[in-house]
Amino acid sequence: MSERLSERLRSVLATDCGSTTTKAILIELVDGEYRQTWRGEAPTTVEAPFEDVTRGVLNAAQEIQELSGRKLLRDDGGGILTPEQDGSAGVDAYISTSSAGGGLQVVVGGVVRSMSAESAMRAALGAGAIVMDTFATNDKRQAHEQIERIRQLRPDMILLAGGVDGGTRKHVVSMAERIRAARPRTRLGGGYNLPIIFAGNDEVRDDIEALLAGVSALEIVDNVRPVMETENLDPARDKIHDLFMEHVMAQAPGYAKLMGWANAPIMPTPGAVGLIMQTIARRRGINVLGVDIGGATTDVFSVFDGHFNRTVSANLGMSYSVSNVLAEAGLPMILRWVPFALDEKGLRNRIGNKMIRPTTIPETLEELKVEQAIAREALRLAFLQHREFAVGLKGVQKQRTIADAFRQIGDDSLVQMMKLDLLVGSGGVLSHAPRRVQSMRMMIDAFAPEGITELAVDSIFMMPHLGVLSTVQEDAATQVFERDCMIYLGTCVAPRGEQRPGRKVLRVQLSLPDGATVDEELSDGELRLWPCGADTPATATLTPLQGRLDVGAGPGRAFEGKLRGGEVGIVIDTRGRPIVVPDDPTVRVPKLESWVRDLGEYPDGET
Amino acid sequence: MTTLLIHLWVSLAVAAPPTGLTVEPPPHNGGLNLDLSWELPEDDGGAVSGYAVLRATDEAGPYVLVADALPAGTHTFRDKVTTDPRVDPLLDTYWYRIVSLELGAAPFVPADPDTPDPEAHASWMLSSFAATAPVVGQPRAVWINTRLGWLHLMALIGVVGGLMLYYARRAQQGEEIFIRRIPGIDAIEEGIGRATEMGRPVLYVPGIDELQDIQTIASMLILGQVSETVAEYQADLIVSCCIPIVREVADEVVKAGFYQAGHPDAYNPADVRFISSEQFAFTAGTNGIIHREKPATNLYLGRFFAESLILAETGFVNRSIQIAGTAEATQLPFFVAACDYTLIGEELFAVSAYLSRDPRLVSSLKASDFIKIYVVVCLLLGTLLNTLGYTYLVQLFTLGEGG
Repeated sequence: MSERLSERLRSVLATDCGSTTTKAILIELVDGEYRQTWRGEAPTTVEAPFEDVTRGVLNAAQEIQELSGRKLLRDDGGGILTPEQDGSAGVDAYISTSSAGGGLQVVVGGVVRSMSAESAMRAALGAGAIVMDTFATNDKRQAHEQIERIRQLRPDMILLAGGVDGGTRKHVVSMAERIRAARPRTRLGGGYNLPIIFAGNDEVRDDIEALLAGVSALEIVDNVRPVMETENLDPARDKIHDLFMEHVMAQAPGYAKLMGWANAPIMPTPGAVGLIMQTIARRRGINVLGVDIGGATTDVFSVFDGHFNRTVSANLGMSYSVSNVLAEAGLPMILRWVPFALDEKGLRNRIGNKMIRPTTIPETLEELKVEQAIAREALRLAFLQHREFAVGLKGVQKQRTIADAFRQIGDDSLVQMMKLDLLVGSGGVLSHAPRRVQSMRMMIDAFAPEGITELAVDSIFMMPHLGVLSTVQEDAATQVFERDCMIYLGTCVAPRGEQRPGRKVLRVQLSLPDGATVDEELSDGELRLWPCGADTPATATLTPLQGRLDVGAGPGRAFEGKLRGGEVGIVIDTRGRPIVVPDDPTVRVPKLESWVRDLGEYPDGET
Repeated sequence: MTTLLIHLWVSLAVAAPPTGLTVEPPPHNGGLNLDLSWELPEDDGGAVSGYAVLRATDEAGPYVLVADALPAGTHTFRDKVTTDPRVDPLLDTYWYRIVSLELGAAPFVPADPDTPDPEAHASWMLSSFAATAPVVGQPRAVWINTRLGWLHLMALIGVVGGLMLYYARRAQQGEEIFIRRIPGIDAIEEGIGRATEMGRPVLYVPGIDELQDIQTIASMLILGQVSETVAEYQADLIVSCCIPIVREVADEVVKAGFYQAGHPDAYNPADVRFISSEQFAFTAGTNGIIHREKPATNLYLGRFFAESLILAETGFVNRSIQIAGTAEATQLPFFVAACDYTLIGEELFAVSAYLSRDPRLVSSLKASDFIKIYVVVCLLLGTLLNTLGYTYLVQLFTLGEGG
């Protein structure tokens, strides 16, 4: 994308070609600000009988054309009309992301699973790939098992790392020999060699070339782990994007044509979401956590202190994978969120029905409550997996103080909830919950934010479009993100620290934008809501009433500042961390009912 | 004349012997002792300056002297009937006599002053002083000591055993037994991974003490786990030893580790090295290894002395990840200052269980943790109660004499 284009950008058509639906949005410059104005959807047409992804794109664009009255399609049916003409026809840029056909599927190899292999995995996930398997010297598999597995997988590409620059040679060569022996084949057709990216020890490049150049489309980039102390993921990520375009997309039905239409490289959908997260975190100087919960998988993204991490929980979702949520979390863990008496058999049946009819949506209030209980556990488990993955580099020499030597328990995850500023939810169960407060409550229960955290949901899953837009015009992407993409729900305040049951925990003094004031002391175990809009923040003084409680200003210290509201408002959660729900149903259900009532989650008369 | 003779007999008459001698086995003993008690004569402390205890295995003797010059006022004595391990005291009966020693009596003069003769001494006493009639006693073993302290100890041992069985069973059933996380132990595998990525060896130093030292034994157990992990990672391991026998054992341990991991071919006996039995020659040699072979990870686990800081500093300069562990309190500060991670005190002994997750080791670790908690609670509570004058808890931990 040229600089000139980004300067004169007045309108953009962005599409996201998903597995089932192609979603298009139109972004226009309105009164000096970029806004998302129209949107359209059409079934994705990558599979038979059409086998041409552009048909779905054209259909989605046509819907926008009809709604907006702006001519977007070329008369000859040859694509999107660019650039914009007379302000009423065409767009200055057309951009797209894609996750159709299962997205970008990558196999990763490295020397040590928690070191070079993990760095390579981070690079692949950050580029928006689905990591099919990770091979390493210490993955407890024999060489013949690894070879057989690589042969079975048929990935879109392989990313091989291992060894620091000047480091081990034998392990890296050994991994390459196994790949060579496996002779892996490509997923999409046999007309091209499987791309293999080598991003390992620079002293082994000749050996790797000798082993793999003849049997694959080998690309060599800088080491993802040039020294143990640092990661260098960008070259590998960029190369994954390039190869995604050159090899994978070029093979998918209709993508060659689509690439010709697009003014910027087509990105894998999750990669684009990660990009907009990073952009927002960087521009606002905040830590962001994002989640996209789908039917089969749940993606979690985080940017903490500039470190970006993404994980895909391939077995946690709300429809196809719903039974797996049950298997992993266990019935009692799901039941603890159901605010009415329900036996285990009943819950198991409901979950089973959801799995065999994945496209159904809840028809009764009870079904909705059960679905939201499952969502809490799916989100919680996906988040746990993310926290375990998002850790500092392993194998690094540490400068430790004397105090560290006596520190017995280390939490080395980069994801520290007290430092989190913005939590963004996406996916049907969050974005399309009947009441926004339900989304907010689900996210609070699942992620247990600490201190002061803003919560938002993605209105129409626009983040992929904005991610790729940020590569063209960052200002446009962030403006649309703030104005149209994010639906701010409000702020959650949750003190962290040991709380004495039944005692007063927090004094809350609020000056709300409507002139109302609040001065209340909340006890342990409460969940309270004060409505407050997003445009004018409330002024708050939050004083811990028990010694070491921390509301974000430090243990025992009062917080004074502004709290941003949203469609829901300001939620004060004094349930403590971790959130403990009573096991006994006769205690639990009334407790859950009281929380539901206090937040007004469900219609009056219903809890 | 008769009066004079009577008077002379009275003045020459020996002091009266004790009365009421009883011989009983003590209530809590293994059969080695007999408790004697007697009633004091009237002139105890006057004409009677003390007592002697004589023992024989036959009523008629010969008696031997087992205690001489017990002070006046003494009326009990515990006799250890034999010190000869070949003799079973339970098979014999023992006869005792108590002699009242007279004030101012001439001492016994042995025939050969250099050779004590308890039998002659006893014979002289019987002829010179008044003694009780022989009283027989039979040692008896009482195997269960019913004193509170001993019962408490027995209960604790029972609880430890029970807990070990309980946790071993749970662990064998596949349950994940929680062990408090120790970052230093987690870092061992990380260190081996680092060495693998960097293509450099792991250096293992099992301290400089003899094999029988408990820290060296713990270190050998850890070495087994470390060598297995090194073999799995297909990395290189160098073990630097100060004691020849430790080197031999380390060699076997490393070999077993490589076999266990399924990589016997990767085992190289030359990597398990004896450097020197001299402390600083060993230190210089090990420093040489660090300089020449540039290990990515150094593990110092065992008993260390003055060489601790020299080794750790050299490793630090070499930019190795260093993990140290010792129960030698004087060396801990140096390791803490110069190493990335330090296993403090008994953490060293927990490493093996932590790394292997062997149900037997894990269960003993869990059981000992519980006992430690119990002892700490008793210490705190006992201090408080004792300060207030209640001594129950002190009695609970007092074993006293058990025989």
